[in-house]
Amino acid sequence: MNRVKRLIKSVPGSTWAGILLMVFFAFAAKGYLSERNIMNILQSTSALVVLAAGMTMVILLGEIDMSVGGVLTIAATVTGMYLKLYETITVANIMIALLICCAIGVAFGLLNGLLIGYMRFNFWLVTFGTMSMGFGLAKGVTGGGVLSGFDTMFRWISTGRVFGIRTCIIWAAIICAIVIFVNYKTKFGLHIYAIGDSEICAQNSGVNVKKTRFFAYVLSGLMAGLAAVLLLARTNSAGATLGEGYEFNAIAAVVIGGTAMDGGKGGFKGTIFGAIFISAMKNGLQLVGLSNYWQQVLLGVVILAIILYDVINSKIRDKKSLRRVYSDGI
Amino acid sequence: MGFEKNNVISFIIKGSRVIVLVLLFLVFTIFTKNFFGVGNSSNVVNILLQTAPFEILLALGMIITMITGGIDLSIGANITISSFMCAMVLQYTGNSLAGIVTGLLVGITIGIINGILIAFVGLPPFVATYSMDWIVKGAVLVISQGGQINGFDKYRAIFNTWRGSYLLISIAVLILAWFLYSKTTFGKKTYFVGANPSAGELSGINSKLIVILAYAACGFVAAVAGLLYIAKLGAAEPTLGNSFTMAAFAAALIGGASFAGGKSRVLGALVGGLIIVVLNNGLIHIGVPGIWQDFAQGLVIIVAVFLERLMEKLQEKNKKGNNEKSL
Repeated sequence: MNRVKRLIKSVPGSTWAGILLMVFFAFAAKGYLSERNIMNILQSTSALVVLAAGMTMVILLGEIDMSVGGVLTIAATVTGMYLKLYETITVANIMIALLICCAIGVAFGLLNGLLIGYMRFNFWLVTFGTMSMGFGLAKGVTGGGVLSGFDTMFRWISTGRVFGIRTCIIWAAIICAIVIFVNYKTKFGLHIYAIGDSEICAQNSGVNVKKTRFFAYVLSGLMAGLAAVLLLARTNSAGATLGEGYEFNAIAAVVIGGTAMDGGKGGFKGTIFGAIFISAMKNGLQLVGLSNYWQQVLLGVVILAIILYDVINSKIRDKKSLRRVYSDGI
Repeated sequence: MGFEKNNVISFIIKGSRVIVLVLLFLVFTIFTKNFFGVGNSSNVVNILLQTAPFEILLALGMIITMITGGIDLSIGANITISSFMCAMVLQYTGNSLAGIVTGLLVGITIGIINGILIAFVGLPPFVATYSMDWIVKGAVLVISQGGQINGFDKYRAIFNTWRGSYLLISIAVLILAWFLYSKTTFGKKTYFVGANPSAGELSGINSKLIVILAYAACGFVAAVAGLLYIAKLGAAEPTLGNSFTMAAFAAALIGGASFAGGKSRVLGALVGGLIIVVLNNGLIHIGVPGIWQDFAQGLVIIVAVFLERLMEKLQEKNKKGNNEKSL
């Protein structure tokens, strides 16, 4: 009995919420568990999970990159403008478009990384600033308008099919695999955990804190650029509001996935689950027939509830372990 | 002689933001035709009476929460919902007082919920208020179904009969906040809790209550801004406050607010708010289209961060110099 109880308590709140949600929508929404709909869910997860990959690294450091939504927006916008320059698109054009997207992402990442990693500026200030720079720049260059209708060859990146699976899902899966490797197996990934746990300890045990932090932000920027490609090719439109709220969804995916906001705990595997959870919930709400507005409210409430559950749970656990320490001592 | 030089430096450091404001004002006055001139003060009077009050209030709300070491990212949503609720009450009852009270209560309630989530439950301020932002924004959209409310002329007349009423109200709120946080024991306690929460708790201050009150105050200030804004605009929209959180943050930072709790000064809101409005307006006069304002705001945040660091370094150097002399 005790064992069962412990097992129940060891599962993060998000997993319970996810299972409950699936069961609920399976009954409430027709065709929710059909193959086509599951593909739909995965498709809309693709950009989010890539964005959340970079965010996971930064949150593992105990910091937050608020700029990802803005960086995604400006990268997608500029790339969209570039693609619009040509009547017909060649493979070389697409390569350049990809390069532009990644370069803009990395440029913002470099800026964040330099200011936060090397110059030790407050990460809130800097990423909030670069976030509004990204959105503002996108608004400025488009004049507030929307670009749409890109070449089908470019859109193949997200909407093509390989063995019946949408290409954006495949790209996202490849990126996820690489990030899992980076997160769990490389020195860089492990250093991030060390810094997130205790910066002083990491510093004293020979971790190059500045460099690691710098590259975490660069990675986050690069991921924002890659997510921009996937999103641009999937939605077929770009504008100053493209990435609005994406930073919130990315943070939510990371936190729902069990990565602690104060760093050092969790990892990217959980984030993948968190991202799928968010898309699955949005999709289910849509199928049930709730408006976009309701989706926004419910998403906020669910995220807050999950975080609350985990915070309260860990508080109770802390108290219990304290009690054990005291009673053992006596 | 060196002593005097140090005095001058420390004076410049202390008043750096005012100097920036004056410089910006001078630059725009000299290099543009219509910003300000002798016999041509209508533009400056306009921004002082029409846009500055809102920036000041936004910065004030943000700064109050930053004193406790937190942040309120739900200011924009709070402005939206409090003004929208007020407009709904105005629509149904036609009673301006009822509308105002409703708006203020809604704002304070959301602030209190934020405070409880942060102080009692222990959520990081960022997470609590950012989720709240999304929940509230969505809630307003659900309530309004995307539509706007207008046609409350009686209510508008209260604020619009005299042009200076926005500025007067916002300055009154600012002075009230300044008095509360700079001149009373309550204010000292808040700074203490912000600087060192556990020390505050151990010395018998009810730090949880203090944090909740700070967020409630921020909610109140946001509600005031929202109520004034719909009086100016003549319509309550469900997306009204979406860009305000960023503006609040920018103005607070420019005003010298610091993320380290217990450092920010309430009156920084006045300077920060004024710098932002002068900058925005001046840029338009120089010929930068209004569409670039968001970008300028982001740039300003980054530059402000840089200047902050520079100031700190100068201050340290200055102190060192003083110490060596006294030895």
